[in-house]
Amino acid sequence: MDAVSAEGVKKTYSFSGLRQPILDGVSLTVKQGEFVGLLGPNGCGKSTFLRMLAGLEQPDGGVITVFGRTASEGRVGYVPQHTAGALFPWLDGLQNIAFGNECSEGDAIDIAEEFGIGKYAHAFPHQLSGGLKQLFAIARSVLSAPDVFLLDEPFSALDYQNRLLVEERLLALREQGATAVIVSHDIESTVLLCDRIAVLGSKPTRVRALLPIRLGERRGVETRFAPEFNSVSKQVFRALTGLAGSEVNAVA
Amino acid sequence: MREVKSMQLPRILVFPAIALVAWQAVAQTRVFDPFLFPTAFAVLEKLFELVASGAILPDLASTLAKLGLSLAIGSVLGVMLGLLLARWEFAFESLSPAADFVRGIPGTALFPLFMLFFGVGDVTTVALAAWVCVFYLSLPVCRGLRATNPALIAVAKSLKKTDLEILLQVRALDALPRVFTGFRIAASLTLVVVMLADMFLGAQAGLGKALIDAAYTYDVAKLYAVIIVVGVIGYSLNRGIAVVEKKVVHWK
Repeated sequence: MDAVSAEGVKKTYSFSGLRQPILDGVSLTVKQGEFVGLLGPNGCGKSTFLRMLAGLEQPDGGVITVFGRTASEGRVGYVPQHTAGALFPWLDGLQNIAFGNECSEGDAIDIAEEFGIGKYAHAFPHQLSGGLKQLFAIARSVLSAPDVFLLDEPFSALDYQNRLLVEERLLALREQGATAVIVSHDIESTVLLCDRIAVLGSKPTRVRALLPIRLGERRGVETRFAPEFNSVSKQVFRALTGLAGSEVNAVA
Repeated sequence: MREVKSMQLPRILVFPAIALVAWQAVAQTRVFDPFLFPTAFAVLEKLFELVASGAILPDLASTLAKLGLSLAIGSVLGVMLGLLLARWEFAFESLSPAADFVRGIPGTALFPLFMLFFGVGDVTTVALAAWVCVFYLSLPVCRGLRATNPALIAVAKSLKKTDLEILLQVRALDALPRVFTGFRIAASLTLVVVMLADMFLGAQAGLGKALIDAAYTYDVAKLYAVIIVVGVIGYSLNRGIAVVEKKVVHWK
């Protein structure tokens, strides 16, 4: 059974009375234990698609299932962009991790320690850097033990050090066999983390290319310096910028 | 820390001290009619006499009781109306323009109407002041509840929170900064209405009545003394709300 299955997903929004199709039959499957990245231009509907996978928005057409269940019934760990405010500002780090999770304080402390953010457990979101906020949001998601992680631009507005922190945690989840869909603009981090990358075109959006990322099973943040990393990144870059032609169908 | 506090107290008193000295100096020049502009010393002496003899207490107690009751009733009804407007789209679309319209009517313009309904006396004062509080509080409550950060709602929904849990644990808390701002304005206007109603709606006691009586009997020193007391109430009300706000909305 696929972890995530999206078949012909369509979505149309109305802007000033004009109906504008955003997603025009997007299809994607994600296998259990797989990390899949979604890359595409601004406004192409990546985040909309992710919210539909999370059951937060309904598609106008098509079918989405998460481990055989409808998206709204699926057990997903949705992490919005930290710049959008993924943490509850009135809760400290530990309370944010525990929010919505039936867990003891000890469980929340354990996961915070595991993520290396234990010493910030009682700091409030406005006292945390972007990377720490992102780690707290991911830690909360991990504690809810979801079937699939859905991460919306986990590296946006992060400096290099914070990006490495987030990458390390996501690589650890990958090692543990987690399943994830990651929306991003960052080719380097997406290539580093993902098994496949779906490149989306401009509106109305379809999957323009589905690229396998073959970098070996064991990856670390320094895998970005491996010789094959550049060639894979270049392939993704070309698909993203349209240099490889209008339709690339390099299916894994 | 202790040093900072000891520095702050004199600073707070600097302007009042300068104002009193300047007042005393100007009054002693007799540029203004000494009957209409008594010396600061004479006013402070009167204030001390009013407080020490307890003569001002019935008026003070009456005004504080009416203010407290109006704020209590107005706050409960204001929050309920704001909640109604926020939760039901039909109520929002149909009632919010009307609520805006009613809010635009100065409370003083409603004196005659409320007198017809409730007669003259404290009941009218409380009803009118509560009315003003309701309409100045309900809209910030409504707008605060409707303007919740969508990312927070998305996280709560993905963690399978119910609508009621999202209302109580997310929307209500996210709305608090707006609610406090609205409450501060509502409380100030409620005090204005209580004072005016005390003056003109046949109150048995109250600082507004004390002011108008002092004016009618040409007890100018008392007039100034009561104005100072009213100023202290207004300032304390505002500061009190600000202190509570800082404690409750600690993340802002």
